[in-house]
Amino acid sequence: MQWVFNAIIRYKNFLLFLFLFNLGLIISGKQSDYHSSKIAKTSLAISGFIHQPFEQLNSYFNLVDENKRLAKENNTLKSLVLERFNQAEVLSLEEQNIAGPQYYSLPAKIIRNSFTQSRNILLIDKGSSNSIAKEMGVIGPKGIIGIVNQTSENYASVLSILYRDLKINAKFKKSNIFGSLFWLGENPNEMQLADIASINSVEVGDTLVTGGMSSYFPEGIPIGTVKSFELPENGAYYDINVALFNNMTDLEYVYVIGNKNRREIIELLEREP
Amino acid sequence: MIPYYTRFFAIAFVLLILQILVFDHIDLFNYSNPAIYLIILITYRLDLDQFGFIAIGFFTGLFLDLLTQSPGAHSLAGVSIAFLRPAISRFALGANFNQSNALSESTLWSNRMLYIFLMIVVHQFIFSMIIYFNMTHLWTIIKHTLANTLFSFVLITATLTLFQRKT
Repeated sequence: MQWVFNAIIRYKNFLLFLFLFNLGLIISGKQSDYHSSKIAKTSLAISGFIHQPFEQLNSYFNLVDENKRLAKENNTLKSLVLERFNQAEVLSLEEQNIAGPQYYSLPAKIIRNSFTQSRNILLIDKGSSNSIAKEMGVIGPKGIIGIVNQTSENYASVLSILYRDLKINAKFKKSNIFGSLFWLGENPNEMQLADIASINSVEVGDTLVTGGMSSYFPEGIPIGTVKSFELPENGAYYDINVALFNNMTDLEYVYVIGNKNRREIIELLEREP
Repeated sequence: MIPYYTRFFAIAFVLLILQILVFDHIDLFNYSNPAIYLIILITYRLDLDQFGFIAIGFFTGLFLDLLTQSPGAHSLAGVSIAFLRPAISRFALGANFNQSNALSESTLWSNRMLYIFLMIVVHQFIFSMIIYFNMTHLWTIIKHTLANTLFSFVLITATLTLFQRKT
């Protein structure tokens, strides 16, 4: 114990310097958005650098499970392609090439998952050098996962949908009723859906998909099913619990969704008075 | 006889106010502003404990940061220069680097100038680095550092010579 105090007294100048320097950096971040984003970027690069080797080791042991999962996903995609193929024969050539696909996807791998905090942030191993940019949507094999928050050269941080204050536009698959999906911060498999008016009919087991009202996700990406719901007395809106399709505690490979028209959409929204 | 710290803080306060109200608006060639408040950190007695000096370096900077809305650059540069000062003074002033009279006539004129110059250039370099916060602008940072250093150096040495106490 004695040597701890001795060391503190011996290096007190250096410790004070470190303490005040960090305080200064915090002030920098608070005062200027540029500095705070720069600091966040640096810390992201460092944390990605630290987490990657562990994740690589870990993923080696999960290869069998992961292979099965990929085979299943491939199968689903294959059936989708076949469906598309049948449609393509019906459509004329001009109709098929009206515009290129609006959305494109980039594969990435989660190198740090988090689901125990009230504001969870994930790390993926692709960054600005892989043309990943802020505010792109991230989806997994079964449904949505989050939104890219910050990028460095080789890594990006993703706001998980398990992030309090994050609201996601969602709708029922069977109808076009929109609501907003949010997380209360408790169970990582369960989210809440709000703003569904009581004149609509809701049933347990209804499937929810993303609505096309935001530019993060394309319309129709699966989210989950209605687990339970209730109508508060004198309430005009349902309280709906949603069970997620994705197991947010076990994520490995994800896809980052880019929207080619995103800039156009944002410009248009900003131009509105 | 006024106690050292009372006099020191009074002078520091006056210099900081002057810095904000006058010297930050000089904009020589639309480019350079002198950091006259560095006199506080340069003339703080070299024989006193460094622990307090680091805190002083930080809080002078913080004072300026809060009043000029700068992104923490003054406090970071101030605390760094306070931490680095023993190294600079040992290099520039030689054997009596931690004597109370190290900055008086007892030290060679060239050594004192070297000490002042180094203090300013290191401070300004750290300051510009934090203002730009991006290594791709290194050349701009260096240009700014040199311009501000020269301007500050002329003003600070002139001020120190004017107010030097006769021994």
